[in-house]
Amino acid sequence: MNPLIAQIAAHSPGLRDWLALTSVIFSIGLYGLLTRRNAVGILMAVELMLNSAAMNFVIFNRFCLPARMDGSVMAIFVIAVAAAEVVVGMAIFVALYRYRGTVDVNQMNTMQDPVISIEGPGDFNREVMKNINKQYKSRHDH
Amino acid sequence: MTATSLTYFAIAAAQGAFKNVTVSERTAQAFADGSWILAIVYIVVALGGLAALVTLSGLVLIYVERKLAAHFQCRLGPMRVGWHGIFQTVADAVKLLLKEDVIPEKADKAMHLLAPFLSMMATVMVLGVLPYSPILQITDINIGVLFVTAVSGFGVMGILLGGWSSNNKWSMVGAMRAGAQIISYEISATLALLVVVLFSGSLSLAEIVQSQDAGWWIWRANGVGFVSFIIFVIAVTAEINRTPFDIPEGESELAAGFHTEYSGLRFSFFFLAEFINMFVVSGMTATLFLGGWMPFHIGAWAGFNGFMDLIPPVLWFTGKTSVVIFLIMWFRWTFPRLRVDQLMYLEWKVLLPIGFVNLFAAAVVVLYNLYPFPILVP
Amino acid sequence: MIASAIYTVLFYAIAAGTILLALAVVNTRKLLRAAVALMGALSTTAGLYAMLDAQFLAGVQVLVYVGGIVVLIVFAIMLTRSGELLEDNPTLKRKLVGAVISIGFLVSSVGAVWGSPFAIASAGKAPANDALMIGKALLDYGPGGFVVPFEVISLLLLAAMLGGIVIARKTPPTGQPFTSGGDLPGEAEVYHPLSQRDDETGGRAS
Repeated sequence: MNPLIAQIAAHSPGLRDWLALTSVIFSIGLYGLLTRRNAVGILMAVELMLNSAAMNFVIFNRFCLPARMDGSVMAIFVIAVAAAEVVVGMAIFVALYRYRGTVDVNQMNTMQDPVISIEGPGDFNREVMKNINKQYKSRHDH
Repeated sequence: MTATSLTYFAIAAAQGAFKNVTVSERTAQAFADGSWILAIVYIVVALGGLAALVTLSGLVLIYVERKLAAHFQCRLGPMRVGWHGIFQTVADAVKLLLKEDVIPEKADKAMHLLAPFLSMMATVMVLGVLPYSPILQITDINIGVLFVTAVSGFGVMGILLGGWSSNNKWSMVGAMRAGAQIISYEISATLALLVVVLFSGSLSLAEIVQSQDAGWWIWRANGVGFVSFIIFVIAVTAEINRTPFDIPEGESELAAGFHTEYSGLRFSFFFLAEFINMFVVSGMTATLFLGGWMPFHIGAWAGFNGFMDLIPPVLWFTGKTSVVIFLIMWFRWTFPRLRVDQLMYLEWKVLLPIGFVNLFAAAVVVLYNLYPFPILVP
Repeated sequence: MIASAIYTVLFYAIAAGTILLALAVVNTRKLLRAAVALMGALSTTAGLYAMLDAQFLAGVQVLVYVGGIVVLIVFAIMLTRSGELLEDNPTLKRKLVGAVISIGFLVSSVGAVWGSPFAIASAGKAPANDALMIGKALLDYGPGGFVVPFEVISLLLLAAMLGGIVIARKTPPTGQPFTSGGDLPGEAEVYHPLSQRDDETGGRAS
């Protein structure tokens, strides 16, 4: 037998390697969650995290209880919840975009202490105008 | 060692219609025997066969479509290149390959290049699991039906990306329409397909074909199968964006829809994917409802059945697929194009309720064993 | 031996691909590209599921994530015009905070995994037909069955569907027709409840 093949086969991934992989994916999702500003981008990072968590169920199932499929069932539940979450999240973003003209989470501060004062439509419109002009500018810079 | 594999193959061939041996199983057997060369030959043959199937069926389908369209309209169609224009498609293909490949200036280049490949990939992946004959199937996976519905998602992504990255209003609108349409009609197609899964008790395509040994599901399933056959054909016609459901590329309003900005080789990828898709969905229809490669049998007429067995399974599969393809091409010259609202009305208010009721009826039939014919439940 | 070696190589190749695609998801400035990378990451995860003997789950992963969730995300990106925008690069402070927290999580979780003993079942073969097992487990109301969570999930999906329709539909909740802001550049139609105060006819004073 080829020694190289034997050496490769000796490094066959165990439970800890699989768990390390899901930890890495989860941390990447966490990083995205903390650095993204667009709400859709944040949702994508959350999807990554959910995905790695679901994979943990399957890994433990495979290594600790291989005769049953409970891990797959739990992963299916996680996928269903993720689907529900995305549907509601997307509906909220689309409504939010219609209302504010942006889905940047840093500008979702109307419930904050008065940074923007909403006196009436004029003020509100100026804010929206500023946003949209900024977006147009960044769009045409490239 | 090679001899073992050959014996295995010979036994498989001798057992004929009642033993499934897929190419991947043969490859695994060759690997287990230690004959690397045979395994590699199997892999090369499988890949080459797929490539040949894609090219050939693309060329043939495009020619047939043009000829059928012409004859439906009392024209002759292509007549110049070769006998009855038989090499017209080859000439067109050469022309497309030699054309300049234009990418719009403001387009997202990487996505623009990726989109046609995604579309093509979704199609070719399905070709790998279709059972063409008991001994001619690339691989048979446990979750065959699920796999087929799943990979169509890549096709949707290809269309959406192609439309978006072209930086063109028509492309964009076409892509959004196509995405909404495909996702909606996928539900009906899946509901119709679940009826067959209920009756055959398996998700594997090879086992679904085997379960139709005593009769094809379209007529053995007590009318439920026929209803789901009709729903399935309508839904897949919409899924592959063919007339009367071709609003994503309705040329009178949207130039050419999502592939307006594509040219040369990349356009031919989209174009080819569309035609191969037609082959794929027709093959799926034949496999699920028309017995796949199973010959046509009538009860206990041994003579008739024996005569039908003489026709090789590959021909049965090809014949049934061709019938469905002809049906879909016939639609194109019979029905006018739907509007967007009519399209959504048809799916959500007509097909979906019928599909649910049909699925429920199928469950009742299976549960209380209301078959007129004996059934083999695994 | 050969099978084990192939398995190992496949694992590390697919794992590396998944990690690269996941990095692309959080670092690409064009959101549509991030969505494509997310599609890739979720598909490679389906490959990993298949390597863990969960073929049915791999199929469900591709069906729901690629065919449903990613398509929905792409639609949302298109509808909120996020795809045309280049997201601003996060500030260095933000990046640092994110990196420190996520690397801290990674170190602590990998440390915990490496330090704790697991009851690894040495023998035992994965069931041949996992779809059958999953179906039975989902509808089993005995011990070890999941019929209650299954029903709860179906209710959750129904609620999510209704919520999505109610939130995203075009007419405002008060029943007034949708007002279009004539003073805004672009096609964005902005509805604002306060605008009703000035002008009852529907058009907003500019």
